[in-house]
Amino acid sequence: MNESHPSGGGDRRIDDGIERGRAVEIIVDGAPIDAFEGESIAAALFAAGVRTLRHTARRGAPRGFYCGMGVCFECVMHVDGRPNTRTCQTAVHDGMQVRSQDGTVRR
Amino acid sequence: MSTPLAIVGGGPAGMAAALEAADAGLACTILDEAPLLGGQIYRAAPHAFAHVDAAAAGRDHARGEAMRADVAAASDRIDVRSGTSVVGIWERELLWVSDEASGSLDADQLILATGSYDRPVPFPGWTLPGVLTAGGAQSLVKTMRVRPGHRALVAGTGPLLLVVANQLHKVGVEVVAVLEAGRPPLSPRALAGVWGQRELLADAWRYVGGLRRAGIPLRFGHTVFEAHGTDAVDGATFGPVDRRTWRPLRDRAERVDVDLLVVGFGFVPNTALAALADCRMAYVHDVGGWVPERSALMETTASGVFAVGDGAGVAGALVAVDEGRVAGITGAERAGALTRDEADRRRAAPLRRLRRMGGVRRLLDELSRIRPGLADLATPDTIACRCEEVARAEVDHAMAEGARDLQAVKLLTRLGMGACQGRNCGPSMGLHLAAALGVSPADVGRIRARPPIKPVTIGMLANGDATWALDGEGEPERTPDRATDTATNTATNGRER
Repeated sequence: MNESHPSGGGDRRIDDGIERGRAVEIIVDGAPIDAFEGESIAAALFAAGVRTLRHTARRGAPRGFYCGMGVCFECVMHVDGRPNTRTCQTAVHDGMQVRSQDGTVRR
Repeated sequence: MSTPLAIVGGGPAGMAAALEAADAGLACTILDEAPLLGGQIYRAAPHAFAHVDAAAAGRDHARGEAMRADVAAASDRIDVRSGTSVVGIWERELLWVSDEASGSLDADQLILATGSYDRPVPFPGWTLPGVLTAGGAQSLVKTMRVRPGHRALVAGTGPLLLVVANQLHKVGVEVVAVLEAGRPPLSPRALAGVWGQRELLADAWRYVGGLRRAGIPLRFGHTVFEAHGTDAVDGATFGPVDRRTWRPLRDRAERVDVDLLVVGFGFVPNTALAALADCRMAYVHDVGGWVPERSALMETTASGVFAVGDGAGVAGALVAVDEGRVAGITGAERAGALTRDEADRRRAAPLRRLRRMGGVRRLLDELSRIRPGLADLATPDTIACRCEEVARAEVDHAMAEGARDLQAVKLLTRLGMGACQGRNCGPSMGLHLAAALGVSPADVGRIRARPPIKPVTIGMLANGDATWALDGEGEPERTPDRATDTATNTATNGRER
């Protein structure tokens, strides 16, 4: 189980200079997506070719990963029951349930 | 909970401060948002990655690894709290939240090492998925080892563009061009500034050489005008800018098909906590905008509060490390862990290096000094506030209604009231207001962060030892916490008080 996978698979993962963690599966809007322990949700989605992470509340405009460091809150999704989770700052785990959401944090 | 010295931010500046304090015998606590120390530039690979080919990871990664090892070796004196966000400060009392919990930390002294973030510059289409900041693209390529796209355009200003373009090319992303809004920096005066800083000079040559060998055009005096696409970016329009003002010259625009647009116009200091700590702020355009005023020993105007690194004025990691050292030594001196003479002896080397790096800093300022014409990239329909979806036309309407500063625009339009608390819209709309009203950016003020400065759930606050409240006016008012009696320490929000 703890065997690490030298090759990430998926055409957007870079295979040299790295050995990723254990292969896991996350469920995004009901569909399984391959990921590796240590990856952020946003990185796993990027690797799978998913760029649009949510639509805005007011205009229904698509949004995705932007700052990558937890500042902009553009990449928020519904993760394991918690809305408004920054997917660039949150690591995947096996069986993680991820849903896209319309709208973002209301303060 | 209390600590003799709290350090907020575990990047180069924060780690350096902690190491000096610990070396002087002073215990300290680092609070850092990320899972591992390093900040942005010295970011670590995730724990779960067996990783890492050191050569591929590069010099900054090696420097980060060395500092992390030093911090780990001083773990008897340095308490590291990763995955922890500081969301409020009242004098030197911090409110922190982590994944599922919260608490307060009373600090005798406080060092803010909060870093910077990519300067947001609105243009049509900049909210489309596939438009990434330079820092965001780097985090995917360097840390996650994922290609953010297949075909990229890189635009903005400053040396980071060259770095990112090289990194993208190296991992197989086709880079169609690098657009630098400024002009070639190789004036004799600029070169004199880096003389003696061979490392930086060599870097610049290496990256420019890398682009040349890869056949990637580096186009000075150009920038991106618009990102195209419906669900995500599928193309971009770019063209030349006016040499002096950087105003876009739209009649000479070209279009390229790309699925990745990387934008980097330098950095903005992250000053929300400094403002909350009541540090007096000043607008210094050349270091990124609003920054806390500081003494030569990195002290702010708030008693016992220091500010170091990019969060106190953007100058890069080498300056950040030495500023952190000076603050860590001075903090130890104030706490009585060092005599004045010993502190002076320890401060001498970092202070000397900071003076010497002043020349480089002036060059970097020059390279990344943004010009007012960039505000013209946004059209009336362009989103100014990404969180609340406020268009620039609404900001202009607010000005027509009489708004003369950002706070007034915020009240009229909801600009800056969303999750990012104005970090994205404040700097760009500040420049827009200043240009439109013919005043200095200092005159239009800034959007004030309010605690909690990051969205938190009531559940997170309830799972902690801090009792705090916001009164109806939104002004912070702390009530004493009683860590020994958690049953009474139910966090509440204003409505329940």
